[in-house]
Amino acid sequence: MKERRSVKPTKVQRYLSKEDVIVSKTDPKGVITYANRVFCRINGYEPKELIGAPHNIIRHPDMPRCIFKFLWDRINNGEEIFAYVKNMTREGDFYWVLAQVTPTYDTDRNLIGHHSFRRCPDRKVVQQMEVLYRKLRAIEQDHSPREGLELSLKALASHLQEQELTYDEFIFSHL
Amino acid sequence: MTSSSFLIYEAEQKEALLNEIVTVCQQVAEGNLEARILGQADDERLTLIADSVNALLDSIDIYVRESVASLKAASDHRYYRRSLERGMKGSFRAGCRVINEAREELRLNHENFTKAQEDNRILFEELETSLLESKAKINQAISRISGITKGMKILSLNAKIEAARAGEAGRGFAIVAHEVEQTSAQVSNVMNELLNAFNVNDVLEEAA
Repeated sequence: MKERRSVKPTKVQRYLSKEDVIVSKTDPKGVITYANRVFCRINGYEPKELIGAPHNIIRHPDMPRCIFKFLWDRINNGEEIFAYVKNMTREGDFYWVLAQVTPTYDTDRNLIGHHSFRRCPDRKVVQQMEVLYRKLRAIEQDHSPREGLELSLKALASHLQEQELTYDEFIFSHL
Repeated sequence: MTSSSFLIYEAEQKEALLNEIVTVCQQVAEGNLEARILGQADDERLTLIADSVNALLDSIDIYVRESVASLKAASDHRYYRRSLERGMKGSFRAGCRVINEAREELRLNHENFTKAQEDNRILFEELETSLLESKAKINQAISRISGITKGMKILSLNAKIEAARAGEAGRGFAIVAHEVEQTSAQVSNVMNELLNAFNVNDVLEEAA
């Protein structure tokens, strides 16, 4: 999707309703194989545009890389993961979700893809996450890509350590 | 595209979508929850059917995933991982709630079990301490007795020597000395039995 590169983030925020759920499925490499109606509607894409597109088509530049790194490590380890994610629509608008990604296996336990379910997040938690993510993003921007990622992962770990929580406990304590 | 060929194209598209809807429903009935309808047709009604089937499958899919994840977490004692009701509707939501109630029961059971285990551990430690204390006291008593029997042996030996020196007059005394030696041997035997019973050979070595 070449057009993607020209999308500039706007300051317009969009909101999911409490009942809205965004569903998508990808192959193991993150290529979209299914997107539900809400996914298409909120992001402003037609279903046929999304099938075959990389999942980072809705990635917002404000998202810290360490969150995705952490997410992929967990998924590749066969574990489910929850994360607060700021996404970007086709027009560059943003919306926050509580994303849950789970691996999908066939009956022989081979990984055949990922399932992503996004719920409407609590605004209060999103405000906290915005602060945390801004901090992590700043660390990443102040260093080389490799060092930045390492340091922001460390910052995330110490943020959790201060609260004496594991990442999952942290997520569930805010639900 | 001429208008007639466009109509044929539209009809074929609808036909293909209908076939896909049937195939997906059959696949799901066979247990493949990954199947989704991806085709499209320029037909509002058919599109609505396809979207509704997909939405239904998404609801079932997430319910199954959520149930599996929360039950697996509970079996790993990660009780904070509850089944999320947010985004679930009707019976799916009710099902989540039942799972969460069961999970809470499991958590309490586990908590009680862990507490009972801890109580047992403390009780065992107290028992162990008091046993060790008793053992030490027995050891002390045995080593004291051992010292006394040793003294008695030497005493009877000295008495025998003195009796021999006294000749005929010491004969009666020699018998008493012999009896003292016998008594000390008997005490030694009893003491050995005690030592075996309490398995405190280290004390025997010390006392010897």
